[in-house]
Amino acid sequence: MKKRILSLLMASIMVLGLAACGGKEEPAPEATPDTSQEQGGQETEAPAEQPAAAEGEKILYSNTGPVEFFEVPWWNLGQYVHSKLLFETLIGIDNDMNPTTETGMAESYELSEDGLQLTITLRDGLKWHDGQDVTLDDVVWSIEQVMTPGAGMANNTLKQTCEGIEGTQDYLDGKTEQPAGIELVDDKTIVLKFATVQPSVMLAMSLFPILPKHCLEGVDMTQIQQDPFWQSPVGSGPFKLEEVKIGEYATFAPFEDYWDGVADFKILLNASSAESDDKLVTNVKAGLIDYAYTKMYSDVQALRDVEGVTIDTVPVNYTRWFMVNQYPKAAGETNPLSDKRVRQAIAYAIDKATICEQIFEGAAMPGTGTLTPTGSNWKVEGLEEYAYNPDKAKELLAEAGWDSSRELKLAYYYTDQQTVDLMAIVQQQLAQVGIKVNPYLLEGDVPGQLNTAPTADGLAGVQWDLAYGALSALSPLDYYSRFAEGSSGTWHGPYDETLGAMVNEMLSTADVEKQMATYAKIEEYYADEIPYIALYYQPVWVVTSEKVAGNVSKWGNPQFYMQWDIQNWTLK
Amino acid sequence: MAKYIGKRILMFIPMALLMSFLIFGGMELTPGDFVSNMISPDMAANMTPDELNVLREAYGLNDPFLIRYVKWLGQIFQGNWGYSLSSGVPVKDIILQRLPVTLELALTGLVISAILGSVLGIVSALKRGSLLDHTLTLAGVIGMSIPQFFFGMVAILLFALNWKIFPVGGRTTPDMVHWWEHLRYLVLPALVLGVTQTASVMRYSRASMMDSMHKDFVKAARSKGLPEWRVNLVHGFRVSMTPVVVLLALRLPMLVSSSVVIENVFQWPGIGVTFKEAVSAGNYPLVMMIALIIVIMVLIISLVLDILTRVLDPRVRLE
Amino acid sequence: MSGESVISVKNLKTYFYSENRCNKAVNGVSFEIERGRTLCVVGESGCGKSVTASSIMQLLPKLSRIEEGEIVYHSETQGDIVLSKLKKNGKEMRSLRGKDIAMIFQDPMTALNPVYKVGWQIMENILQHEDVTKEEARKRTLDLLIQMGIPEPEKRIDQYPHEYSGGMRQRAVIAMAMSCNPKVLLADEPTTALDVTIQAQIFELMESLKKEHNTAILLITHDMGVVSEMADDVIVMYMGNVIESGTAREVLKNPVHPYTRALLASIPILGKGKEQQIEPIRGMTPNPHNRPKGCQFEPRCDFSCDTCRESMPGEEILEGTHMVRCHCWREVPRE
Repeated sequence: MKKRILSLLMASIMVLGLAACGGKEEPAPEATPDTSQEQGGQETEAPAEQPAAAEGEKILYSNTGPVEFFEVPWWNLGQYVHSKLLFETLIGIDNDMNPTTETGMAESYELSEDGLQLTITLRDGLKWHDGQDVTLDDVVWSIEQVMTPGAGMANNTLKQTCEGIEGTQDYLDGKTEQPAGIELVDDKTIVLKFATVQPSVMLAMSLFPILPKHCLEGVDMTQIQQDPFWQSPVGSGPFKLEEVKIGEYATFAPFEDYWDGVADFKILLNASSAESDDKLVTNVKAGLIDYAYTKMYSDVQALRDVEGVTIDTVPVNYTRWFMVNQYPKAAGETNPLSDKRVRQAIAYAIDKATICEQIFEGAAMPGTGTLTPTGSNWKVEGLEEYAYNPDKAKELLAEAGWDSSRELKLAYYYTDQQTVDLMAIVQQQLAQVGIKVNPYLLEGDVPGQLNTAPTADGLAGVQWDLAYGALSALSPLDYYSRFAEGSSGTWHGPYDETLGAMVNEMLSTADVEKQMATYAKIEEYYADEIPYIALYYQPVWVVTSEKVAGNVSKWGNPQFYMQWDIQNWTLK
Repeated sequence: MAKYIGKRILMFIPMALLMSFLIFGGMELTPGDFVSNMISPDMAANMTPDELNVLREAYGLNDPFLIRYVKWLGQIFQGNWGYSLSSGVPVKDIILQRLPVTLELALTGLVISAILGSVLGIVSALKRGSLLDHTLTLAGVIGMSIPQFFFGMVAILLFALNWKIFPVGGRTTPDMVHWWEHLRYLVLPALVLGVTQTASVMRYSRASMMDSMHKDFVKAARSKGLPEWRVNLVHGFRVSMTPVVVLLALRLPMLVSSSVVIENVFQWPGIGVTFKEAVSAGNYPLVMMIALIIVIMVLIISLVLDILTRVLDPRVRLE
Repeated sequence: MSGESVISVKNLKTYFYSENRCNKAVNGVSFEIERGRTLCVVGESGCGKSVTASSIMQLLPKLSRIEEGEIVYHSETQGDIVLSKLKKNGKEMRSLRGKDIAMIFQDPMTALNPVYKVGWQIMENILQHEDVTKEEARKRTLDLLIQMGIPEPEKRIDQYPHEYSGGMRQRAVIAMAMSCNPKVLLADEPTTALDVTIQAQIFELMESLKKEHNTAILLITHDMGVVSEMADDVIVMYMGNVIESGTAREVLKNPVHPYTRALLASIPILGKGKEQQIEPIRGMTPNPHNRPKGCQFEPRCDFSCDTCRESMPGEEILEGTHMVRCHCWREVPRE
């Protein structure tokens, strides 16, 4: 009896052990099994450099490999390395986020004078990784998917631009097969006609990855992410998926039919989240990352003295701010924050320059009166900068009749140490001018708690007075477009007609120069009103190893598609 | 005996049901749902409540709690484990892929802690009051109070980055041909897991060993003229083993669920990390199945334990 | 005492050390154990009886040691062996333990290892000391069980201790002790945990073994009834000292020490009926760390005098082997 049970136990332990080992004996799902022969040729050309590579191939390591799935690239437009490797945008984009024909699917493009008509001609010989041709059908299908209501997986600017195409509503109502504003001139040229001017049309189309219709046709847009396609996607970009172990790594082989050069190396992505890779520092030190970017200054501190590692600072449209709720919380009350002198006082009372110095060692720039980051060519110089001035703050508060017994609720949703420190500093600095602040962490339904419209009788829809948040703007227009009538800015403060009219003017043209002229007027007005208070502007940092050095002279914003030309890199 | 096991297995069903209901309810009580977790606050700033509602409807999150639970339960009874809300991959596939990976790590860690812990515990008990005993006790206290992730970080820093003996993390690479090649990747996480678990096993086996060394039968064994090793191991340790085995076995399911930290530090693609992410994402089909499997593991192990203690200690009767 | 001595204990002092204090558990004890005779050691709990037995076996706990005196084993084959000088768990000592000198413990419930079969535990002793095969050892074990009067020995040999009754367990323990035909059997209150009828059977068994193998028995007990039943010789211990000794006849018929008399008075005598007067000894045994200066029994003694308070009485021989340590034994009224 005893022996039998013991042997039974032993057997079950062995079975468990075998199961544990057996898992990896199964062949990993091959994404594109027909690549081995083409690869063979390149293997012999490439000299053995990487000891880790079994057959002497060169391998470029990076992060943001799939943790659960490859993300649909219409939401975060190029945030993941794999999105940039696998998919190509309709029109190309350069490192200043301007449209170009040096990258992308379009051989040429033309936006009409009035901004209402965009003509795009595709390059010849574009191919999907599975060998099929890229056609205008794929483009039309992609546009149609993005405009589908409830397409949760599409970026807002992209979605709004596509919805601006003529005949969208009729198409969505099923009255037409295809939106009337989409016109196929021949099998390479497409004309998009817009019902109204789309201010970000060029940006949207240059950040619009086209997906293969033949792989995804019939998918429900609300659940497109759950389609098996995203376990091993097919694209038309410079690299194709070779092998993927979800949650571990994904390898990419050069796409031999890519129109703009074929790489002589493979790419391996370690699985990590795109938001922040907490293994970044370790993996860079261990040589498992040759290219990555980070928004965490602590990573920079940990890596800047590591031999062979280069860190480049890339200015981006990224602003950390205090959103301000101006609506009263109870009937009959007036919210003191609706008085601009109180908002100005808060801006004066926070020592933004010292915060940037202490928390970011000067790597972030202190906020001014406007939302546009310092250094951006859209920013208007010479406006009120709200440099630290507690006396002025007290003066303004006295003028506004500030009731110092009132406590402001300050919501935040980041949980990192920097944020916690920052909240404490702000609390203390505001206390010095007589403003009591109570910071608290938002949990659960954060979006709902941040953005809720006021009630019909004008009471605040949100619980907080101040909310620490961020805006990663696709284009500078995003900073102020929220103040248009009915947009999200009016959920926290009453619609400002002066500001709204200027915003409308700016958004009614696709002409960048005209936009900039209005933008300047908005900035000037905004610096005095400050509906939201800019705290600091943060760049991102690109971390590269010696292997990559010399390939890129100027980085674009690595959170989006950029002109990095990775298929033509020479690895050292 | 067979009747007893059958009875116990039958008991699993109501217990698993109750647990599943409690876990489902617990998920319901945590703030936020799958959609509000799926969308980062930065993105959500640009989405209207209507748009969010369309998504909620699509993921079936708008039904009342009980209806969702019954739907889920109905699925399970039809043998359908459901699909991950986030990736659409069948939950069964995810679990079959991840659980063995975690078991591999957890079992190795368990074996290391069992061997190390009981050996040190015995030595400590036999040399009670000696410098060695005090050192081990102190090391045990330190070992229990230092968090695993810190141990892990130090191990990576020393063995992976400084001396480059073991890889920093991960489990497989594309160029692996044979399954044993990944064992190199198992060493560090398993050691850290094992060593951090050793302290409590050591304390436990020390106490248990001291207890049994004071028993008359040990003196009786000595009075037979048996050599000391035989007195200590065959008589003392053999008796003190039962509670240690119980401790170890009960720890296995806990190891599976608590391996999150180690898996995270060593980028080990196991179920712990999956579970943590599923919980924080509100991905309930995945959370429910993993939790249920852990519950069933606990139940099975407690049954196996009952049988095992019966084997280890003939005084125990099963009924 | 007459006859051939097998173990001589001379002026044995065994001290316990704990928390920086010294407990003189055995404080100068001498006696002889003789072949084929039963020596009973009597006394209350804590008087040092068990420590004396453990000292002979060298099975003292870690924090105790033999401070002075010697224990000599008169072996028939190897001559005199000074046990107190052997290494505690050394090879020589171990070769005697369980073979020449065996021990029976107070509580058969705890003296048998609960996780091993009874037969296995007896065989273990045989295999340790004798060069026999497992089959032979098993055969001998079976014989022992039969000899001990254990019913269904073939079945019992493969049972665990918890499947035995209390009396059977003690028989098994005795079988284990007797398995190598020891010359000396140290029995530390072997029947305290058993009920009276079983007690009698166990003693009968020990008696017959003694006769058969000429075994010397050291029987530790606090029960004067057992002494009158079993003893050939008696020593009475109090607080680490022998206060009276002699043959059973000498001590039991003519107890002179007030303590011995008190012990005898504290037990009921069979046949005297339920009206008999039982007198418990008044007071408590003193704290071993805070002993009286003179006679250890003085605080509880009804006959003490000033001398008793001053000094420990020396040994005095009354007649034959009858020894007593008391200043005032002459004052104690005889019955």
